[in-house]
Amino acid sequence: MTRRLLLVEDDPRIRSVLRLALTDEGYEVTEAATGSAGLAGLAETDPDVVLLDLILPDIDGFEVCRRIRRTSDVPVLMVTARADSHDVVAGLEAGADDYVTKPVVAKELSARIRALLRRAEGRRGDGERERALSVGDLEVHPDSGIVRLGEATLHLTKTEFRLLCELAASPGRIFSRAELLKHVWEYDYLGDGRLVDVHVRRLRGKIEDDPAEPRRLVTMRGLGYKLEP
Amino acid sequence: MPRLGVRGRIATAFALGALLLSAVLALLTWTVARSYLLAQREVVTVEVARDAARLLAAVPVPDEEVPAALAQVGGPSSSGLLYRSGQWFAEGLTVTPEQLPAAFLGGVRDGVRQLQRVEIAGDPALAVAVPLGPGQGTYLEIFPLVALDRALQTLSFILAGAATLTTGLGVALGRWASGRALRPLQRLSDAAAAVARGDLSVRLDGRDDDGLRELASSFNANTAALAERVARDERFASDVSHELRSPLMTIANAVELLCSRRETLSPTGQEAVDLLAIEVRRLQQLVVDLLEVSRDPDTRHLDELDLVRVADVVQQVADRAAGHPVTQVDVSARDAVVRGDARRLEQVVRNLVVNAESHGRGVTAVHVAAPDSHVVVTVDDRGPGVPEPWRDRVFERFTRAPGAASAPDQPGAGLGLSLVQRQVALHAGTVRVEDGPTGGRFVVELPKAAE
Repeated sequence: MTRRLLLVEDDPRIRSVLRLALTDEGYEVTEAATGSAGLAGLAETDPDVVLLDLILPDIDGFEVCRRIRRTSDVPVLMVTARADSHDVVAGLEAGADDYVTKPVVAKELSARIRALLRRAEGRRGDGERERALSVGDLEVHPDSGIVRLGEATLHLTKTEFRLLCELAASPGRIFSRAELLKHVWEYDYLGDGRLVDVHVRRLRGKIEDDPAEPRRLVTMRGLGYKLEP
Repeated sequence: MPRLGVRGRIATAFALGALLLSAVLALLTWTVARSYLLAQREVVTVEVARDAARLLAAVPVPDEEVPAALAQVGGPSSSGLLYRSGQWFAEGLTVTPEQLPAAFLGGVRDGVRQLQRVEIAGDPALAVAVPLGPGQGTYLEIFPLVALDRALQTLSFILAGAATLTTGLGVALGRWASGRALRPLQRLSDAAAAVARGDLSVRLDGRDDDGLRELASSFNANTAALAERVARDERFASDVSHELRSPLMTIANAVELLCSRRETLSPTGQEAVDLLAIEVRRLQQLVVDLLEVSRDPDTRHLDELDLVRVADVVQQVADRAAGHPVTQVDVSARDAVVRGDARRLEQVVRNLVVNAESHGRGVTAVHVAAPDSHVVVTVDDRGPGVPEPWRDRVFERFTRAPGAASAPDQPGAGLGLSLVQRQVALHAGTVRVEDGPTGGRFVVELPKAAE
């Protein structure tokens, strides 16, 4: 099945070369040169993954991401020019699932995209499917992608969902950032711990009664995170 | 003799001045005291002798009563003698005429009034001769000066002691005064040393010191300008690299597209594309490294970072980067952990191994040990090592020590070691160059994570 990509990038040459390279990799690429064109493209083409540049001429990338998140949980891969703390964290908090830093070649992009797609389909990196999980009043259904907290149904992004599944599979077990980066984001040793940190924050915002005092998703300082049974 | 600094010279000047002054004063005091005391003694002795002579002359004394009479007249501590008609009379056995100098005795016989300092049995004494009158002889009064001498000796010791003390005080005063006077200079010197070390944030406060105010303000202005320029330079490198990102992205992807269609090109085209691919990759790495080395440091505290098992990181990276097994892990280091970013530590190890491969003629061993509070990673190579004066500079950007072997097709862009130093510093560790058993050696020390 051909995967559809929405490429939101203002530099025309980068846009062209990525379109060529990603088409080579087997994707169907729709281009958008501005933030508003991107949002329109999202509605029109229903892509499987969005590649979002942060520097855009009209609306900034963070805002585009936030607006996407209002209506969709489509995987968003952020393309940043700076790997500095501020940009990466801001992008992740706006709702991105992962990020790459320019300059990046299509092969690397493709690897990240594939990982995102696997997450979107509720599959682990090793391709296995999981059973339904229940931790306290949390109910997680990997095959349908549904999460329930008591009576309420939660809306999680694919990555948040994948992260929750990973933690819920072994309640009480401490997962290090490295482990989570490997199993959820499929990074071998080269992952950025901030991906985990921000996603934990986002998850807490959705599953905790008071995100500032987490009871379910707990930090074990210097060791990692765990989901309380 | 070691050269004295300014402070030492001021103190020495004070000391010499104090010494001179006190020596002169002491000498002066002693001389004045001596001559005064002596003169006084002479006057008194002469007076006493005259009185004694007058008494003797007033009443004629027969020979056999002379010694008794002598004992009664004259001073209490002196000896009296009478010379009459060629005969000598003494009040006791204390002083005999033979002990007096011949010239003096001659004067006595001639009936001349005399005052002379003499030596009686080795001790100083004052001898006064007063004629009694025609035919009545001459009265002699001998006053021993030993006591006076001793008193003067004591005085000289006291004065010498005082002079020494004064000199000592002079030295102390000199040191204190020079310290105070030179304090502004010392502050300036400390500030300059800080700047030389690389701390450009140091400023001098010249408000409380008139002499320092102008100096301080120009120093501050200079340092601020220097800091501004350094910051601009750093930003420039970072800004340029940043600007290169987008063009490089297009170039890199276009080259990859060409590479994937290599077979459709002519042989010339293929060769061109191959060259392009190598250099573009190198350029890409350079830009990434330059951005990494000039980006703002991670603001997370070290203890917020994960525990990383150093042996694992080294194992993962070193063998692969060297192309053959080189990792040796000490028993002590097998479970040793540090707080940090595994990705960055991996970069450190990789860069050191690549450096050994490019400039050290190949890595011979990468050793991990954890003897005490630190985890030590040692990278040995077969190369010529780094000469002493370059051991700090080799970590600067784009700096290569002379004599380093080079492999031109290695992708090293000159930033590998500066990245190593930066990352190691961010992990609160140190890195240095040493001589190794097979050639050169790089040693990284990282503090073990507190449990």
